Amino acid sequence: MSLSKPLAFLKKDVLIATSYRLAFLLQLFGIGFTLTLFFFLSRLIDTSMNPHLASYGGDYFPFVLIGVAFSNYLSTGLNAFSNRIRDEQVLGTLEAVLVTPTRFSTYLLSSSLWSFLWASFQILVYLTLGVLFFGLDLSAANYPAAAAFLAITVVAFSSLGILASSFILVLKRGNPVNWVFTSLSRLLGGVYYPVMILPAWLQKAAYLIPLTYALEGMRMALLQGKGISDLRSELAALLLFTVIALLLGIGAARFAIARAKRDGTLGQY
Amino acid sequence: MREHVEKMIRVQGLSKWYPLRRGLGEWLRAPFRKESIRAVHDVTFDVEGGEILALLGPNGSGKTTILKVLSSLVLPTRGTARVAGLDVARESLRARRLVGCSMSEERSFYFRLTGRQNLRFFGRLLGIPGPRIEEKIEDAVALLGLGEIDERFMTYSTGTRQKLSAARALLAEAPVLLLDEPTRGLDPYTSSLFLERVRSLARKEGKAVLFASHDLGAVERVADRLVFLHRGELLAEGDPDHVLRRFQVPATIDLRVKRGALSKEALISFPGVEDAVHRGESGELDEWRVGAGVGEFPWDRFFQRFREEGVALSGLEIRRGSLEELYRRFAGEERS
Repeated sequence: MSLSKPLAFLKKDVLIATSYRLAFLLQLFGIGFTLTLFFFLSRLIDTSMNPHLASYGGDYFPFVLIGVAFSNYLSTGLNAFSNRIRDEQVLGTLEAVLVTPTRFSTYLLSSSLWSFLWASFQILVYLTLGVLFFGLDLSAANYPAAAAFLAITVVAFSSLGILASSFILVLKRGNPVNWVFTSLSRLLGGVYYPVMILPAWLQKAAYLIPLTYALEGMRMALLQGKGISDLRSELAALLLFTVIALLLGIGAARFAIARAKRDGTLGQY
Repeated sequence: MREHVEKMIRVQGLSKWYPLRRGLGEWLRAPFRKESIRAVHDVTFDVEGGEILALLGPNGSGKTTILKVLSSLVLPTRGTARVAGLDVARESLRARRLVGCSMSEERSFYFRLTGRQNLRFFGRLLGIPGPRIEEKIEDAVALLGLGEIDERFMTYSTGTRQKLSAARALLAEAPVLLLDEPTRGLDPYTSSLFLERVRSLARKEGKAVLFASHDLGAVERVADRLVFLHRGELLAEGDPDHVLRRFQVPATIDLRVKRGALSKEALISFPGVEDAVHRGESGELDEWRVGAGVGEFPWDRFFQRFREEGVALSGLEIRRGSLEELYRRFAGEERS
């Protein structure tokens, strides 16, 4: 596939995003505020009283920082595709784009490129500020393992996002996929607290959520320096979710496009 | 004689029914009832390379649906639509490579980008290389007088938005052009320049052009043929004269004769004349408008009668029945 079209989408989205200058700056400041908030919150938590944190190095701040930073990918993956379709339907540009010789898959992936790059940049800012100002220690981090988890996480969440966008194409409003995964992932996925804190029956439910494996792997790789071989069970579970979500996402998107074209509602909102 | 005679667009037995969306209350009352509305019914026509075909018809006649089917935005219920032999429903991507399209929706641009940034983006999606896009943008700016090209789209007036839409239509290098109301909102001068360019694209580059329009002047100026649609059905196809004859839209003749030489009654008794209206006086002359009726006009017997009456004709202008009259007839029927 030529990079010309994805780059055209990326350039267009950067121009639009940076045209909202205040919003752009506020998002950057927001990262600093979030970090400060969790830093002081972590001071309240006595690490010796929390055996659940021991396997992550014992400190709450790095634990929650990685949870908050990487759960950004979940919301980006879930929202980028459906929000983009909805925005373009409202703006009236969706049909104008789709009458050009551009595959729907190219449109969908290219138009979310900026959101993922922005989410990645935010994670980088989280980690950099954490290291520079809040004592985050990444000296033992295993970066290849973290990169592997990151790559699979992006694909897994994107697949869920594509599945979610199918609902927008057909139903226009109301997105059960986003609602279910966002709510359950925040509650059960281990963003703010370890999954082991949950009652046993809820822990079983937590292991049905891809974010649980993504955050577990990322924390172990970045905070404990665990390698791919140590994390193969988390990686395998995440891969399995990814394959299932990808197949579901592609199938649902095909069905949704055909349905919208048949009903003549592709550009309606 | 056009050199490009290949059938670039072929629509055969095309029908499109849209499902009707019902409110929650109606759905609860009859959850399994399915209703749909007919947009296009059994329409067949084709367009050759180098030819300009106009889709004409009152609102809701199915023009935009046909263009949307050809641009792969809507799937047909029955029948086929082909571009250069490719079925647009089955080979959508390959067909879209051969189609340049301009939809009538004036909002179809990114509001926070400038006109130039918008055109660059769409040029890339059309697969045009960067330097060529810049050339085409400059050409369109010069042709359409798009002085605001470097201002943000959200600051544009309706007319300027439409100019940008016309400029986007001219970016495409595809052999087929689909234009939905391309001159809507354009001032007469810009509209005329745009239509000239479209005509040149057809004549010199052999593009097949299909355009839907309510601008009857534009249709009469550039269209080689027209398809007249009403409530989704094709009622007539051919050159404007053929269509007007088909619907028996009468022609008129404007006459100037010596003042007082003829009365209304006398004129109505002339061969072929159905009606006569005295339009006024100009110097020593009376001006009459004569309703010439439908079909072949008996010119020989008409002039013979002038000789018999001893009336000299000081001026004669034949005005054939207009598309506007035809349009008014169907739009009126729609309302009643």
